[in-house]
Amino acid sequence: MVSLAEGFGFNTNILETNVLNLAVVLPIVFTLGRDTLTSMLDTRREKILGSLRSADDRFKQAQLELDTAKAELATANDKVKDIKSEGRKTLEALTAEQSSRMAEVATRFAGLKDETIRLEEEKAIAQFRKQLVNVAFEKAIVGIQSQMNASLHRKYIDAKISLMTSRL
Amino acid sequence: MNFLYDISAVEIGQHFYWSLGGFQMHGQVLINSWIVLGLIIAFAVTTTRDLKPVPEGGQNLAEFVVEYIRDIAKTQVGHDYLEWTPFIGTLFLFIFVSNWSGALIPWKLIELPHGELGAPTNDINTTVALALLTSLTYFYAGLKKKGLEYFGKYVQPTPILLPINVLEDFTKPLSLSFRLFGNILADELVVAVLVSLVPLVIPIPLIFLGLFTSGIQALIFATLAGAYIGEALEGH
Repeated sequence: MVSLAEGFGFNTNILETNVLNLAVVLPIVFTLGRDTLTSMLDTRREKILGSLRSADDRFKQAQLELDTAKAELATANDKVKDIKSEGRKTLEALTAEQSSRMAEVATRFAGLKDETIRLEEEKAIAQFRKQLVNVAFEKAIVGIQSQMNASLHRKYIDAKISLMTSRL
Repeated sequence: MNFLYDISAVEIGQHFYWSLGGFQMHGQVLINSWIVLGLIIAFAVTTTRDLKPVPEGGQNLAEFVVEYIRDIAKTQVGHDYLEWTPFIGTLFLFIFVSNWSGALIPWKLIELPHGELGAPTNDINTTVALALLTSLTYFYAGLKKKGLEYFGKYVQPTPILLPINVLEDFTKPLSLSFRLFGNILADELVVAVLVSLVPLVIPIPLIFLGLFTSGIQALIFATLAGAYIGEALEGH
């Protein structure tokens, strides 16, 4: 019977303490709860595992990409070196060609200069000669005009005529 | 006649009083609260002692619970929900474990000098304490975020609504505490009365109903607390 107990103790009345009902309820709650909980937790765990795995995959892929990128970088570096050395070579070749051409041009100029000087010299000499001849002619003409008279003139013409006949 | 009365007698309003500094305290409620706290702390400690990157067993369950609580806080509080998640989670876990312990553990095996052990939430003092803590928290949240401008919400959208807005601050803890207290006490009383009348089989469905409503009440309390905090935080 229900009694207002005066003090601590245990109630041993099975019907009053609701133990039998709870003995039915508890297993049902536990089994149902465990089933739903385990399925929910399993899906959750799977989801976490999946995301971890996909993150792992992405990491691996990223690493692969990094590796290829590194390899590309290395080849690009090689290429850069090649291009640099090639450029240096061409530069050297170009400078060599340039200097040779310069030398050639210089020699050509030198030759041209000599030629020009020679030509000028020749021209000067020719002119001088012409002037000399002119001066000689003028002096001869002046001499002839000052010393010419009739008898001499005739002598000269005769001499010329005799020369012409002898030549014929 | 006396026999029938004895069969159907249900203890209510009987308390195992402790007195401390002139206050009378309901000892059975405190004992049960400590047991509930112990259960929750034991669960938290045992499940998080050995943490792994891929959660196993207990850790998985604990993470699931935390995620569930965080979702409640996120949907109710909104933007700064992480700051208020611990409070809402504490409310939810304490109320949930209290309610279920009241329904599932055969407390009546243990006799007290007065009163009987049960869910801590079947005592109005517990629920009022929880509700007042909720009030304090949403006031604190609002004042912390907006300063004294927080009180501007009382004249929103029009000053005519000022009395109603002020009244709301009183009705919120009142409804929170009475809803929880009433539901849990009613559940336990229904089961207790039925057990005293028909000791076997008939109370079982009602125990399940009690479990269902207990869970719902815990969820409702946590959700409403979150909603009040969110309301206090939302800016105009």
